[in-house]
Amino acid sequence: MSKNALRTRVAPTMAIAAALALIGGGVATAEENSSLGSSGTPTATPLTFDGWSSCPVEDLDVATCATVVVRGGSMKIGGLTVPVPDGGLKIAGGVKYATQPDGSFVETFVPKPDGRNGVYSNPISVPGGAIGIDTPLNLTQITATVEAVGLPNIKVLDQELTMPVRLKLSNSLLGNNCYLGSTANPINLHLTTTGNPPSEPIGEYPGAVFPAVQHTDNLFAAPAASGCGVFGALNWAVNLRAGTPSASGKNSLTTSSDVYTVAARKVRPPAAAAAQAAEPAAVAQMGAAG
Amino acid sequence: MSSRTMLGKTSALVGAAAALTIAASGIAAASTTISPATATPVTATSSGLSFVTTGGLELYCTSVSGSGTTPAAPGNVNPGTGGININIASVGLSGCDLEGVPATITTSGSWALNVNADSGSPMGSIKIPNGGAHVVAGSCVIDVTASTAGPVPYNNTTHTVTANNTGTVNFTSNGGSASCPAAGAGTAKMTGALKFNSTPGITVTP
Repeated sequence: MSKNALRTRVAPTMAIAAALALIGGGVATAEENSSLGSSGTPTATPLTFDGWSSCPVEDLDVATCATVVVRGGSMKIGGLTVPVPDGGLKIAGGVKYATQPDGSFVETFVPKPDGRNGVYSNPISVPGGAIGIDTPLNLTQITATVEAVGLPNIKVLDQELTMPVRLKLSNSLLGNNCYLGSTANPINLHLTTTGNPPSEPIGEYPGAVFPAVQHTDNLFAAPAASGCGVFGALNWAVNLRAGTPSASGKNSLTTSSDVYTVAARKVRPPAAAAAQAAEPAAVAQMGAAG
Repeated sequence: MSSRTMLGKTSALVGAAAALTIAASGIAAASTTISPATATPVTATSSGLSFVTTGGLELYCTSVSGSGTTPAAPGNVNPGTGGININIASVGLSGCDLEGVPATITTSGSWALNVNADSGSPMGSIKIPNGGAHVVAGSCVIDVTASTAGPVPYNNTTHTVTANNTGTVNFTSNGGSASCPAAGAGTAKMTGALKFNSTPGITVTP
């Protein structure tokens, strides 16, 4: 038998085995109240608030710096429920305000130009994710990672958070390109809250923190899986497992987050602050010269 | 009576007399005089005044101004405690933000600067009437209630009162949005310098 012929026969066999494992997981999950769980120990260090370095204060139009650290929650997609661990997700950046004729503001989120769109996430470890039970060496472990596929928008005034994301599912069988959602067809999260708790001084850094702000989104839709397994051979298995595509109304995300905020002028380097202070004078001089 | 006992009683009497003298002089020192004795127009300006709530939120204004007139004699002297009020009209606060969120502040009522030398040193307090300031930052609305921010030191040379996270400004908030104090009553501390410009400069002495 040639090597090519062997490869041709082995590949479908692996795909079928993987599919069976995933389907098995789906069955097991259904019997266990459709909860994958994230009881495994995350390998990544939980994300925390670590100052205002993620705020692009060099942009002198940025007026407020904001950081949202998700401290916990739960995401339900179709028949799948995934607990969101403490420090699994952080959104950080700056906010500009454009005053409208009626006195209201249009807020624009400005991330630090590091290619992350202001969204920083850790893989959510799902031990036994593929078949619903732990296995030796964690062979069936799945991790889910939130990836921003567009610019999020933090509305500081209303503590709303809008994010187009895709959910990357990873394990050795699914490969490195298995996603729920895509750049063209993302999961559009729109997290809203109903009031803010009392703020507290941050202490070590300037600004204030609103602890344990509750956010909810019950309206997002979850697209079908793509890129799972060799040539997407396991897309159907992931869709069976996750219940995707899942229409709006069948999914939910609830989070509890610490929301940090500070006026950008308070964390802007002195040189930039001086340039900002000089701006009106320069404009006035230009006006006089003109 | 032994000489030691006699000495002890004498010492006690001297001490009591001294205490009475100190107390009497303390009462006598509680007076305030503003100079000059003529009615003098004065403008108060600041190039940066901030109010930080107990929750750590800061309302900051890049420009603060107001104007008033010092009282003419005999109103420029208060022989007792409580100092002297200088009514401040046309109070304006501009370039304001609440942790970066643009804020507009409208003022009303009778604001006053109270100066006193009750402790022997010149001090100043800003007296804000109930509803004296209305702050709007997006959907966050804050109303300042009756407050006396101070006393803080007044410098007779620079004619400036300087607050450093001192004084108490009372307010109520609607808690209307993020970057907004929680709904209900709250307090804030003041930081900044308020300079009183007049010719000649006013001085506050016991």
